[in-house]
Amino acid sequence: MLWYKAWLDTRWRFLLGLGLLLVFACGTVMSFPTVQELVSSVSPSAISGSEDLRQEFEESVELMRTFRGYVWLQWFQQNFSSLLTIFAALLGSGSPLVKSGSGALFSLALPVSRGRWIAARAGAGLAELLVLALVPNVAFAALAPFVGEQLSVGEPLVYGACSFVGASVLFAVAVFISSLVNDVWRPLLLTCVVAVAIGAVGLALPEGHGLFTAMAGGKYFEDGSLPWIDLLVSAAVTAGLLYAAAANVARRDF
Amino acid sequence: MIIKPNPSLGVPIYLQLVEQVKHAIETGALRAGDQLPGIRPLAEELVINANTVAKAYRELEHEGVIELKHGAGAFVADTARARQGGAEKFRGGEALVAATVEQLRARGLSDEEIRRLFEAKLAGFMKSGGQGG
Amino acid sequence: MIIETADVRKTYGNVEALAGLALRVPRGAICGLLGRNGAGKTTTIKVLRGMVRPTSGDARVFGLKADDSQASVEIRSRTAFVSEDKDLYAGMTVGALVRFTAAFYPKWRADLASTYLEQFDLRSDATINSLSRGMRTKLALLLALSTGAELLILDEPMSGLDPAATEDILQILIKQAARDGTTVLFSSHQLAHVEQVADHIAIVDRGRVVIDGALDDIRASYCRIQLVFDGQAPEATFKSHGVINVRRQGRVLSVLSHGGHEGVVAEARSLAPASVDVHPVALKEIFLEAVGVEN
Repeated sequence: MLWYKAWLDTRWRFLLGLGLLLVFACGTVMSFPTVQELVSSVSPSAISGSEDLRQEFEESVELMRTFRGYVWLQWFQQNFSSLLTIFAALLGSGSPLVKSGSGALFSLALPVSRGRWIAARAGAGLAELLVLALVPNVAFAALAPFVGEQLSVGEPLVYGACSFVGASVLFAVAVFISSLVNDVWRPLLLTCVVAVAIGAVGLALPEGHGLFTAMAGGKYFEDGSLPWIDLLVSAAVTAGLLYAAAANVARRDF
Repeated sequence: MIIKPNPSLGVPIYLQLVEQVKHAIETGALRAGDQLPGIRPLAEELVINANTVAKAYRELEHEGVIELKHGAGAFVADTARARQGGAEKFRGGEALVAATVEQLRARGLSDEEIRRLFEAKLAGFMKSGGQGG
Repeated sequence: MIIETADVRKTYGNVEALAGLALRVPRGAICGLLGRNGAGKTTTIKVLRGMVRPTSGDARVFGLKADDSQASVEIRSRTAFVSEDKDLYAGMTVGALVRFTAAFYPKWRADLASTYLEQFDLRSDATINSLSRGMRTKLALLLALSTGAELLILDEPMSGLDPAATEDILQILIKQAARDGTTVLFSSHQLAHVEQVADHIAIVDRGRVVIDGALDDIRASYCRIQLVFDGQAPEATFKSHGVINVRRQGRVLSVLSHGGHEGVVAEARSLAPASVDVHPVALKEIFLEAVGVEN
């Protein structure tokens, strides 16, 4: 019943996210032919600028030539991470026991510990996030034939799983902040700020590390191996934040 | 038959009930052997605490006005028959009060003053001999 | 005692909401919790509900500590609460909320739920935010009564209700208490309602319980002795224990006494008044006296 209530509270956000991601995924697939044309008509030598910039540009163009590379670069590395992060923050914002919420006093009167409320909300949120992380990506394998390409189902799902682990961290950040403040918007805003900060930190870290890099599953793309350390650290941080959120809620006065 | 007690009167509700039952017996509305409503149904009907009804019934039993028969309910006591002979007493009393009121009116007292005289007399009688409680 | 608190204190910052509260509610009682706004009634209820942890002191329901999280869950499985603003899940339908709530209480009384649904004329498919305030109160009460709880704690249950709805609610509380022996603790500003149905009261003032006990006993222990003199009433001080205040108005001396008025009456007679009358004191006056309001 607690999970049902969590679903009721977050279903519109979830469905919005699912809808948007599916549309974007399909859009990405369908734009491939156009992108391919663009890419083949551009020569690297036409780009003026620094050597690094030219090199990066060359690499990108090279990746874009193949469908697999295009999917990884355009979708997983660029759009998907940001979108999933935003929805992770959205799903995690707003505690089930928030003071000004409808029915908070009623929830608190039920013979259920506060920890269970938070656990149900976190569990439902993570399940929804997993669906958001995996389902849209099935679109790539499913729709590839429409643009004359092929892609295995497994690969996007792996990227999706990595993205899920990374996005969970931001989800947990939102849940944690929600255990301290009483509204829905401040956790959302603050989590996005944290996400930007993490991204900035990631840029400063050595190549191959950083939350968003791990989310994109770059390593897997290149050599088929997973960034296990990054993933484990992310999972641990997620667990820690959720536990702290439950402890906060258990402690406070309403 | 029983009027809803008024909590704001200052008279405890259970006493109001006791008086009402006694009054009903005096006027003949309740006769010896008649069954009184059960405690819970009466409490629900009058929307008052069941313990208050129980207290009223206990007081009435203590005064010998009613009998509480285990499992069967509350009945107006046979000894109340003597009080019933008081239905006549009561009506006789009514005549006396009517005559006194006329006399006091003749003396120039207003109805309001007469009423207060009676109340003061009765309240004094009930209270100064020890709180009715 | 189904509820027993000892020296409970609660401080918010530098505001002391509860300053050593000792509340006792016996099992099976209908207890009215009275007090001015801000006296600490709601905080007391929050402590009993486990919503708020007392700064110090011992608060127990069913003998279990209200500030222990596990014990609090146990308490809540045997107690039903109705908060003042009848906060329910706005988007749910009546039927959905009933099914939702039922899942949490093993002793759920489905028979009571359907009886009250019909009696209150509540449609299962109506959404809660489409209900009027009176209907929402009735729904909240329906949910509370159907839990099979031994104790009902209601915060201002009659606020915002018209007289007919109020009488309905009072009748249902009476019925429940009489039939199942459910203990009821309700806070209210309406003294008339309290006098009508409560057999116990507790008056809270400035974070403390100043009067508590059986309503009839409390009322019996107060009386007003009215002395009328032929001339001007004398300036008298009463040495008897229990005199709360004395007022002089022309030829009348009015003495408010608590706990045994015989001594006061004897002293009064020594002043040779023209008449001595002993009157009962209304709960309103007892209340105003207890919370220190100058009449």
